[in-house]
This record gives sequence, C-alpha cells and structure tokens, in this order.
Amino acid sequence: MIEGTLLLIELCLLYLLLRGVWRVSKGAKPAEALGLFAYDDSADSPPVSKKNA
Amino acid sequence: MRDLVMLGFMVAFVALALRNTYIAYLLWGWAGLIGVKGYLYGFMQNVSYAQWFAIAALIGIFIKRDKEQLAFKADLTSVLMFLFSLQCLVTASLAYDGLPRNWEIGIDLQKTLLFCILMPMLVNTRFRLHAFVIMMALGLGFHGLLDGLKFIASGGGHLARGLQKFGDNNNTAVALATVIPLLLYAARYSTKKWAKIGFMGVMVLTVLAVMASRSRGGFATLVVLSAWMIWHTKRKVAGMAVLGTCLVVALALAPAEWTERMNTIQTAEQDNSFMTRVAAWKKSTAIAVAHPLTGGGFYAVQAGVLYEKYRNAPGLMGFIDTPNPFNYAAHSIYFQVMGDTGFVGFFIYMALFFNAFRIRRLINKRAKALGPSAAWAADLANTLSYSLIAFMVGGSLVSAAYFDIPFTLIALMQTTWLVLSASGVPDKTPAWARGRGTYA
Repeated sequence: MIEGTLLLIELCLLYLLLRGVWRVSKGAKPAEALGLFAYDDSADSPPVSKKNA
Repeated sequence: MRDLVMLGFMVAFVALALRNTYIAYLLWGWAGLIGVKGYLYGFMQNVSYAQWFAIAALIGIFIKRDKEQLAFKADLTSVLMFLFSLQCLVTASLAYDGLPRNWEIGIDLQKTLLFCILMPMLVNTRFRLHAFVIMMALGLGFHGLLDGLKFIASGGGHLARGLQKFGDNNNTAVALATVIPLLLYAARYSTKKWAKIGFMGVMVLTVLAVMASRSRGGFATLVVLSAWMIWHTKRKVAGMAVLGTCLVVALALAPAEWTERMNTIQTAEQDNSFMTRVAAWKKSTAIAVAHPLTGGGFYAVQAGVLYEKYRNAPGLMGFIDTPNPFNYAAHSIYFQVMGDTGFVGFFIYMALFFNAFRIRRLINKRAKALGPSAAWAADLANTLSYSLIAFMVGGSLVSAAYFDIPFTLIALMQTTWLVLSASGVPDKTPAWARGRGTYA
C-alpha cells in the first residue's frame, strides 16, 4: 500500500519535471518552468551597470 | 491497480518522449536508475522501460535530430568511455566458457556507456543539468525513501535486503549512499519550500535506509562521505554539529543487532566474512595475472568453472594466507574490474575516475574566476565528487563495478565542465537567455 502510494507520487513528480522540460522547449523561462523543482538562478542575472542604474 | 497507474503514466511519458528528445533521454536515465519493474507485479512488469525510452532518445538524436542538440565532440571522458566499451567487448568475446552472465553484463555496459557518451549532446545548458540532477535524485532517492520509511515504521527493525536492480544489501547500500550528495544539492538550489523539505527529508531517510541494510561497507561509506563533505565545506563547525546530531539520532534508532554487526568492523581480520573477501580479491588478481590484456570475462571470479583453476593461485597477493577459498563474488569494484577485464580494463576504469576529479579541479578554478554566476557549477562539481567518493569507498567492498551510477556521475562532471566553459565572459546575459544548443 505504502509502496504503491509512493510510486504514484514518484510518477507524479517525474511528470512535473518532464512537463517543465517540455515548457522550456516551448520558450518558458527555465528556472521557473520547473514549477515545484524551480531552482535559484539569481546569481546568473547580469549585474546592474552604473550606466543603467 | 499499480500496473494500471503505470500504464496511464507510460502513455503520457511516451507521448512526451516522442516529441522531445531530451525528455526521452531523461526517461531513459530514470528507468535505468529506479528499476521500476521491481515495484510492479502485473502485466507492466515485463515492459523494458529503459529500452523503449532509449529507442525514442536514439531516434530523436540520430534521425529526427533535435534542434537543441549539439554535434558530437570527443573529449577525454568520452574517449576513455569508448576505450572501456571496446575493452569490455574484447573481454566478453574472449571470456572463459561457462560464465553465465558474461554477455548480459557486457551488453548492459555498452548501453550505459552509450548513454554517457551521448550526454554532452543533450545536456547542454544549466537548466538541463539541473533537470538531470533532479531526475537522478527522484530515481535513486525513491529507494532510500521507501526503505527509510520502513526503517522508521519498524522502530529500526526493518532489514533492507537489497533491490532487484542493484543486488544484495551491500550493493544497494553503496548505490543509496551515492545519491545523498545529489539530494543535498537539489535541496540547496530549490527555491520552493516544499521541494527543499522534500529533498532534505528523502536525504535523511536515505541515510536511514543505508543503516537498514546492515551493511558495514555502507556504514563506513556514510562515515567517510560525511568526513569528506565536512572537510570540504566552509561551515565545518555547523557540519560537524549536524553530523553529530544525525549520529546520535541514528544510533538511538538502531537496534542492538545493528550495533553488534558494526562492532565487527574492528575485528575484521578475525571475521570470516571479511577474510572471504580477501580470498576473492586474491583470486581476481590471479585471473588478471593469467590474462593481463583481456581478463577472464564478466563475473569470472565467481564462476564455478574457474574455481579449481585459481583456488590456490597467488596472483598479486601471495603474501596473504587466505582460508580455503570458494567461488565468491569479487567483493570490490577494483578487483572485480581487474579480474574481469584485465589490467588494461582496470587502468581505463581508474583513469575515468581520476579524470573526473581532474575536471572537478578545472571547474572549481574556472568558477572562481567567473564569480558568483558560476558558483552553481562549483557546487555541482563538488557534489558529484562526493557521490563518486561514496561509490569508490563503498565499492571497495562490493561487486558493483558495472553499476550505471558511477559512469553517469563521471559523464555529468564532464558535461558540467562543457556547459561552464561555454558560459564564456561572466554575467553578460542571463544564463537562460544565453541561447540553448550552443556551447560557444
């Protein structure tokens, strides 16, 4: 029973991940497209230059 | 019921896999790591999941030519993997007669190595690297989650006997230990609270699952892994405090039987179980000395047909007096590869690991030069190195040389380096907008 429930959760989570990959291939922003698995890419943002500030 | 649910998900997965090559590739990896067949008992049990997803991925790569994939470019890791693949084919072809699993292991290895060699073509952005790590955490973490929960529910009485996918309890303990750093990485970089809690929870349960295996090798792996991670972290005091707390909780949960078994680590030389391992190692070296270029074939050391031939051969360990050996398993990834594929295969196998640690150093150096925007790459490289250390330490006592986990980790290290190298000048554009599908 527990094993089956956990397998169901595993499959749902995997589906979420794959759906995120699919959305990114359609142009969504990667870090956010993963939904529950969204990751921190704040350091990837360009620094604000003095000119643009 | 479980099979019907699996069927429903398979319909969705296959549809996605046929439309997106990277999804097919992720599913290929996931199916290989989770060994889902072991959890099904009906009509879906006989489906070759990894094979079908592999076919979908290969069609996508070679026929449909996914627009986001890169052209194949040889690097040292792929060259070493290709050489090891060739060596394994030679080994399997020239193996002793009567090795029951010779070609089965040989062919499985070819599939694993193909999966890894293709990795840089598809895993070519930070996003794809992250998705791959999550896939590994989901696939391997599932086993830890299950056995960890059973361990708690039984008040520490549950014995994790191993999984169909990995073999006995010792092999499974090593496989589980390798996923712990990946779970930590996934938790650290997740922005959603529930994902963080989930990954951390599965990590703790995986530690308990390793304990539930009653594997002394697994326990030693946990200790070495913890020490290695604390040694390399900036927050050593906090790390030691967390480790200490975990140890106290784990020991409080562990039954007396577990403590007694772990205590035998101190008297290894008097322990029959340990000495049979030494005998097996000696026999592996004897086979390698007899066939230095090709080895004896896969799983040669435990084949009954070679028992009489090598039972008293000194090999490279004639200085150790071993008890009357029987046809045991190799009990060490190093001696297993040495006996099975000869010294040539052994050197290539070891070169793969050393090369991965060399790349880790390159990544750290480059990430430092690039600044905060590349910190994720250094963290991922360190995480992969922790997982590799866990495999190398735990693997020294089990016959797990041909698991897909170490090869995947090594390929992932190379891929991380390629993605980081392509990032070029730091912080000019957001990583997600850097243009998928190109390293330049």
